[in-house]
This record gives sequence, C-alpha cells and structure tokens, in this order.
Amino acid sequence: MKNVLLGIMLFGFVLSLYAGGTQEADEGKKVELRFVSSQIGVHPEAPWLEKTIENFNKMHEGTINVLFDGVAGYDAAWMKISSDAATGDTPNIFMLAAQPKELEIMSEADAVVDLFPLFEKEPEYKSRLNDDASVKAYTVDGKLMGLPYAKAYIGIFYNKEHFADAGISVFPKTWTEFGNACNKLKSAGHTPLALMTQPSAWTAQLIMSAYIGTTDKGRSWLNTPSGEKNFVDQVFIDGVTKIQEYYFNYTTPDAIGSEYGVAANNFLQGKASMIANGPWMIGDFSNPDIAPEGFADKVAYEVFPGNVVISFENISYAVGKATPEEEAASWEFIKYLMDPSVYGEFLTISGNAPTFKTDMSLIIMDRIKEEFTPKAVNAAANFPHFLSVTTQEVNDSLEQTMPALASGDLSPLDFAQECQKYME
Amino acid sequence: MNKAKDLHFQISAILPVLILFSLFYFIPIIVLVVTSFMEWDKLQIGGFAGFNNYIHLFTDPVDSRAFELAIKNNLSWTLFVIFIHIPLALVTALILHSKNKGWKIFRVLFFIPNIISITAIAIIFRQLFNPSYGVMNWLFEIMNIESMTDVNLLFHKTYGWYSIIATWILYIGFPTVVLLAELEAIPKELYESAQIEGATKGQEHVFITLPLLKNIIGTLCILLVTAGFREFERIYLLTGGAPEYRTGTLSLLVYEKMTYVQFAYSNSVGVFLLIIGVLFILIFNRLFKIGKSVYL
Amino acid sequence: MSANTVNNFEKNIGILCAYIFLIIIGLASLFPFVWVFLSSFKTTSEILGKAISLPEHFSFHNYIKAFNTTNITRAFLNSMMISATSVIFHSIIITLAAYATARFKNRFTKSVNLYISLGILIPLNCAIYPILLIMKGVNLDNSLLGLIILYTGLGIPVPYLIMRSYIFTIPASLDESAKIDGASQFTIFFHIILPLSQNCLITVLIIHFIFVWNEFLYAFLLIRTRDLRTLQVSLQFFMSDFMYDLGGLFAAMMIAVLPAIIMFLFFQEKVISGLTAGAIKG
Repeated sequence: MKNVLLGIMLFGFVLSLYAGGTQEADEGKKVELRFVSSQIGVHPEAPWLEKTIENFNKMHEGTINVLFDGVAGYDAAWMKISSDAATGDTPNIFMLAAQPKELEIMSEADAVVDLFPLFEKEPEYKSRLNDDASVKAYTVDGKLMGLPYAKAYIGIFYNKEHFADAGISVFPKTWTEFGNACNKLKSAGHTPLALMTQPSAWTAQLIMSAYIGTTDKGRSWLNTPSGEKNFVDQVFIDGVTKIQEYYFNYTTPDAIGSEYGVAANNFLQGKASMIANGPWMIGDFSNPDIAPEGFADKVAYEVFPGNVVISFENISYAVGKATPEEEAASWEFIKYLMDPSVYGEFLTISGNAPTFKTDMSLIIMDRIKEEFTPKAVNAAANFPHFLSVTTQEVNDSLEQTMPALASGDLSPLDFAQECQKYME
Repeated sequence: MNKAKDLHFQISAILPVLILFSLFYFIPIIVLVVTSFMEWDKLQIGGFAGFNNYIHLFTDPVDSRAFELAIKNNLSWTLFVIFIHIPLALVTALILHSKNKGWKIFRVLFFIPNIISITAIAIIFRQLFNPSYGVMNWLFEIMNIESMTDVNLLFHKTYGWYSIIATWILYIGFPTVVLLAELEAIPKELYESAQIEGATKGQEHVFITLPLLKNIIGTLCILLVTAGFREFERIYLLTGGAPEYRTGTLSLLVYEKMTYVQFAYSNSVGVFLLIIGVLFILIFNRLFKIGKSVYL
Repeated sequence: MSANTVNNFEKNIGILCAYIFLIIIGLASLFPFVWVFLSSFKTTSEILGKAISLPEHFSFHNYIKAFNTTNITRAFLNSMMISATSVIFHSIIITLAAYATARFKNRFTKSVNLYISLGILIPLNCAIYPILLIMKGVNLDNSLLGLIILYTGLGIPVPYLIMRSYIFTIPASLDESAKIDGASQFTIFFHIILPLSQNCLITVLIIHFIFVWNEFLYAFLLIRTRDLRTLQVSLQFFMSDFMYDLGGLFAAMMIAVLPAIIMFLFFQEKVISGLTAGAIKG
C-alpha cells in the first residue's frame, strides 16, 4: 500500500518537471498571437484552419507566431472569448458572429480594432471589399468589427430517392405544393422533415424564416431592427402556425427535445427526407462515419418554395485590442486570410459564398453546390433568418418556447407573445 | 509557554488551507455579494444599483417566472433527497449490514456511478432518453404504452423534471457507504439487551439504530442537499431548462444570465443560492441536533 | 415448532426481497455504462439504428480515432499529472487543518471551521470572473501549475469536513501521552495522526482525484495551449457544434472514465474502510 502511494507521488513529481517546462519564453522580437475559434476537432473547417495557421507561421518564422486556442462548440468558444475580454485579455484574433449581442458587447467594451482605417491604408485590399450586406452586418457605430469571411445561401436539402418513391419529380415551388409533397412522402412511408428544438430550433426556424420571407411584407418584418420588432404581427404568427403544423404532422417523433445532431442524423440515415441547412453540411454526406455509403449521390439542394433563399452571415474574424505590435501582426494575419488561395480553400471546404472579391476559379464546388449556386444567386429574393434579426434574449428563449410550441402546449399566438416579452 | 506553542502550531497548520480557501472561495463570495448590488450587463461593471437586481428577479415577467420555477425545482430536488434518496440509502445500508452473500460486490457496484463525471452521466442519459434509439422508449414499446413511445421524456411537460431526478435518485453509492460505516460502529452489546427482552428486528432498528444514526443522517442531508443546489452540468446537458424553464434550477439561471453577459443578475441569483444554502445548514443542524452526543 | 418455520419463511422472504431490491439498484447503476461501453464498439449508424443490441462486429475504430484526434494521450498525461500532484498537496494541507481544528477548540478554530464550511454552498460557475482575474493577475493562467494550485484550493471544503470528523475518532489520549514524552505538535501530527488516518487519507485522495480528473470549466477557461490541455477539455472536441459522431463520443468517454474506475476498484477496499470513519471504537 505504502509503496503504491510512494509510486504515485514520485510519478507525479517527475511529470510535473515536464509541465513547468512547456512554456518557453520568447526571446527577441517574436510576437505571439492568440487565435480563438471553434473550428477544431470534428468541425469541417478544422483542417483548413490548422494548415492556414501553420503556413502563416512558417511564412513569418521568427517574427510572428500564431497560437491556435481552439474551443469545441461555438457557445463554449464565445464563453471563453467573452470571459477573456472581461478580464482584459481579449484574444488577438477570434471569430465573431453577426449576432446582435456579440457585436454589441464587443463594441461597448471597445475590445476590437476597427478595421475600416486599416483597410483605408491599403487600397489594394480595400478594393476587394464588397459594399454589401456582409460589411453592413458587421458594422457597429461606423466601426467594422471584423473581416466578414463566410456567408451562405441557405436552402433545403432533400433525399432524391425518397422523392422518387413518393412520385415527386419536381421540387415544390410553392408552399402549398410543399405541403402536398410532404403528404405524398408520408404516404410513401417517409418522414418529410428533420426538425429540432434545442437549443435554438435551427433547422425549424430556417423553414419558418423562409415561409415568412416569401412575401414582401414578411421580408420587411424580418428586416426591422431586432430591438423594435413587433412579434404579435400576423405575418409572424402565420409563420409560427405553419411551423407548428409541420411539427405536428411532418416530422420525426424525436424532434421535440433534440438538438442539431439528432436532426442531422435523421436526415443522414434516411429517416427524414428533407433538412433545411447551410452548405457546410455538404461534407457530411460523404463522411463514412456518419452517413451510409453513397448517400451523397442521393442528395440535392434546392431553394425554398417561393424561389427564395436565406442569406446567412456566418462568421467574421475580429482583431482584439492589444499592444500595437500585436495589433499590427494580427492585421497581417487578417490580410493573409484574404489571400485568394487561402480563401479559395476555405470556400471549397466550407461551402460558403465569398464575402469579398476573390479568385473564383480557386473554389472547387461539388455537384450539389454547383447545382444549387445558380439557383440561389438567381432567386427572387433573399433575406436573413429569424435568429439573426432578433435579440439574444429572444434567441435563447427558443430553447424554452420551441419544445412547448412543438408539442402544442403553446399556441402560435402565445408563442408570439412570449417572444415579445423576451424582447423587452 | 505551552499555549504559545500551541497557538503557533494552530496557525501554521491552518494557514495553507486558509490562504487557498480565501483566495478561491472567500474572495469570489465577496465579489458575488458586492456585485449583486451593482449594474453589470456589459463586460465592465457599472455603477451602484441597490436592490434593483433583486427586484428585477421578482418582477420581470420573463425572469421572475424562470426564477420561481427554479426555486420550485430546487426545493423539489431537496425533498427528493431527504425523503427518497437518503431513505433508500438507509435501507440499502441496513440490508448490506446483514452481510448476506455478495454484499461486498454490491457495495462496490453502487459506488461506481459516483466516480463517473456528471457530464458523462448526463450525456449518456440524454442518449438513453432519445425517442428513436434510446432505452426508455424501447421500454415503453415492450410495455405497450403507445402514447409514450415517441415522446422524449425529458421534455415532457409534467414528467420532464422527474426524468431528470431519475438520473441520480437511485445512485445511492456515497450515502450508503457512509451509513454502512456508521452502522459498523454501533456496538453489538446495545442490541443484546433488546434481544433478551424479545424485540423484533424492526423494533431494534427503530428504537436503537435510527437514533444512533441521527448525526450522520443529518450531515448527509446537509452535504447532499447543498450538492443538489450546486448541480449544473447535469441539467444543462439534459434539457438546458426547457421546456419553458420547467426543468430549470437556480444554478442554471446563473449560467444563463452569464451567457447574456448580465453578470449582475447571475450574481444576485448566486447570492440567493448562498442564503438558501446557509438556511438549510442551520435548519438541518437544529433538526438533527448534529454534534450532540447520541450516547447518554 | 411452527413458530420457527413461520419465522424462517418470513426471514427467507425478507432476504429474497432484499436481494431483488439490491439487484434493481445494481442494474440501474451498471446499465448506462455497459450500454455506452458496448456502443463504443459500434459505428454511429449502428448506434442510431439498433441501439439495444450487441455490436455486430467489435470494432476498435472509434478508439483509434479517439487516440488520433486532438492529442488525447498528451491530454491524458496532463490530467494524470495535475490530479496526482494536486492530490498530494491537498491531502496534507487539509489533514493539517482538520487536525488543528479538531483538537483545539477555541474561537479561532471554530470560526475557521464555519468559514470553510461555507465553501459547500457555491456552484463553481459563480466564481468565474474573480478567479480568472486572480489567476491572470499572478500569471498562473495557461499553466498546469496554476491549475494544480487552483484545484487544491477548490477541493478544500468537503474533504476537510470528512477528515475532521475522522480525526475525532482518534483518541486524544494518544496525543497526551506523546506530549508527556516531550513531542511537539508537528511530531505528533506526522508520527501519530498521519499513519492512523491512512484509511481516511485514501478516501480524501480518491475524492479529490476524481474532482480534479473530471473538472472541466476552469481547465477550459484557463488553458490555451494545445499541449497543456486536460483530458475533459479534449473530450469536448468530439461534441463541438455537431454532436453526431456518437461512436467516437462514447469511445472518448470510456477513455476518460476508465482510469477513475480502475483506480477506484484498486483502492476500493481502503476507500470504503476510510469512510468507515468513526467505526472502530477502541
């Protein structure tokens, strides 16, 4: 007994000698940058990011070293970023989403560097910036909070085999046709939709947003500022009623209480025929661990009924305020991210659409994307999705209200009123 | 002379613990209490806010509902601990105490869930409750309960909270082992006189065993109830408080407010936790008269 | 005669019921883990399709994936290291403090006792802001040494209370006779108390080891360098935003859980008798 204890003690002490030594002090002018993002582990963009950082460090060997502090899961990453910023230790470069709360917090805390002046000083880079929705999405109080990097056109994936079984040859062009298609799918023994409720009912709220955005009135409702929305508006309530109908009739039993993984798996395993999601999911269709062989061939990507798509500002990269040397070095990295070959690889692997001008020939699109892109670009309208145009409180409230709506405990009107309450 | 040396010893013996504890517990408690009276809904702390945060917790339409439900759930958890969890452990300890064949194996078996991280347990149960491939629904299928086969119990309006309770209520390893230990300590002679007078096993337990266990039962109550208030990961991973905060607790509320960067509110809830905790410690101390000797 | 048989019958029914009760709880305790263990040998599709079944082929590919991804061996060693080290310092300092407050009953020790007991009331996530500030202030963030110190501190309250109640069972008379022989308090502590508390020490050791091993929140917030990550943090990489690789998730969980179980089974005899605090009365 004593010997075992002694053994553990020695083991521990010996190992602790190694622990102390892993932090090597940097001599000389090397600038160490800390990069925080959730693109790690099983995240599809992880290999790209790892390679990019490695190449950058090699290019700037001896002067700049970027340390990747990857955190799995966007929420966890945000928790780290915000608690670091709160303790005066904002990461040098980090991913920033176009969500109202994140932007507001960073802006009020004055924790990020305004990129506009930096772009002014380098016209070559400035000329590539598109003056469009992306830049606007990341501008707060006239400051560009981050380099818009990924945006996506979101449509709906569907299983061609299931559709063939149900005798549907053309993807529905109106919402009525959509309802009919769902019925046909059900008769053919398939569950039409992969929906979910936790924590933000992502795939479901995409469909809801698409439904609302089909009309002009809906689009203008979606575009009202997040703090001023009136939820008790027929346009919204109609959308909620629709999605509740889908929850009741057209989805899998485990939709209530499930998070994204379950919905995704349902689609990948052929248990559901359709899933609304962004192009980043395309990689999963060929992933042998999670999708059956040959699944990718069965999938097609379409615009929503009404010929509309959702345009989604995915992520940007922000520069945290720090010492001048660190900020300058971070800016170098941002510029490197704009390098056409780097960006081309990113867009290929993530399936996103470019937010600034780049060499399109460097983007390799797979069949699904190639079929979809022209349809998306030529869609009658595009608009943001629900979560990006409401306050954080409302977003988080979905975790509580969606399951109730889906099970019928909340009526659409009540749901709308709850959203209203949360906004205030 | 001796007194001085003694004092010297006491101070140096207690110092390390005192320093570390003050650093990582006491200072945070002070920060918690102080900031609960200030405005803090951005990254930096704002000005003094008096009791506003607390008033908000009781009056804001959304937050007060969450707050109310959280308190209700926390209290319900406490009741389950006191009236089911600990009695179960007591019964188990009494059974194992009779040292029937294989009791040692059971003792080890029951303790295993206690060494697994709560995160792991929560994730496992989350899978178990999934209607498509989980065990719960498979059970419903075999028992032919049609209405439930497709329902995720965790998100059920009424049964959701009880499903969460089900993930720990039977894991009595820790209290059982503690109680078993105390049972071993009871001298056999005490039972002999009772047996001579013809008492049954039941009577022996009620009149001799239980009173002797009162100290340890009281201590277990304190430890397990306060542990219940500190529970966060389990509920967060199982339901995140849904639907509509019906499975929410105070510590979950703290976390939620932190993600909104509304640190002031989360800290006020934290202070509430503190107060409730202290109250329970005092109540249990009184109730069980912990510390007073059991032997006459 | 008949009274005896009735008694025997009752006794046997009683034992039967007792066994049924024990088995039910035993199954409830074991089942989830057995399920995860078996499932870790399946592919994710298999888990989703046929959850309650034995794996078709026992494949280790999930485990291989787990070892290949994200430096898990390094993370394992890191966790092992901080747990082992913290546990040693922790046991000594809390036993010292427990001994001091158990033997000396004065205002000072009484208030220290109350003070430390407050520690059982705080959920860890309430203290993020102050703890982060403190750790960054003394430059101990992003270091394993920092984690060791932090965990040693955070793990104080419950083991302290347990150890203290155990020390009450060591007769003060032993102290007295040693003092008469001229021993100092420290000598008494190291040569009498410590050896006699072996059982409880092991208990406290296990409790703290499990705490440090399983801790996630501060390991995740404080550590930034990949090589310094602990096991629990690395495990999260299988979850990320896309929790669909269930097979990989379960394999990773088994890796995290196994050392704790093995350590426990190894030491269990001692743990249990250590919790047998006031048992052996002179």
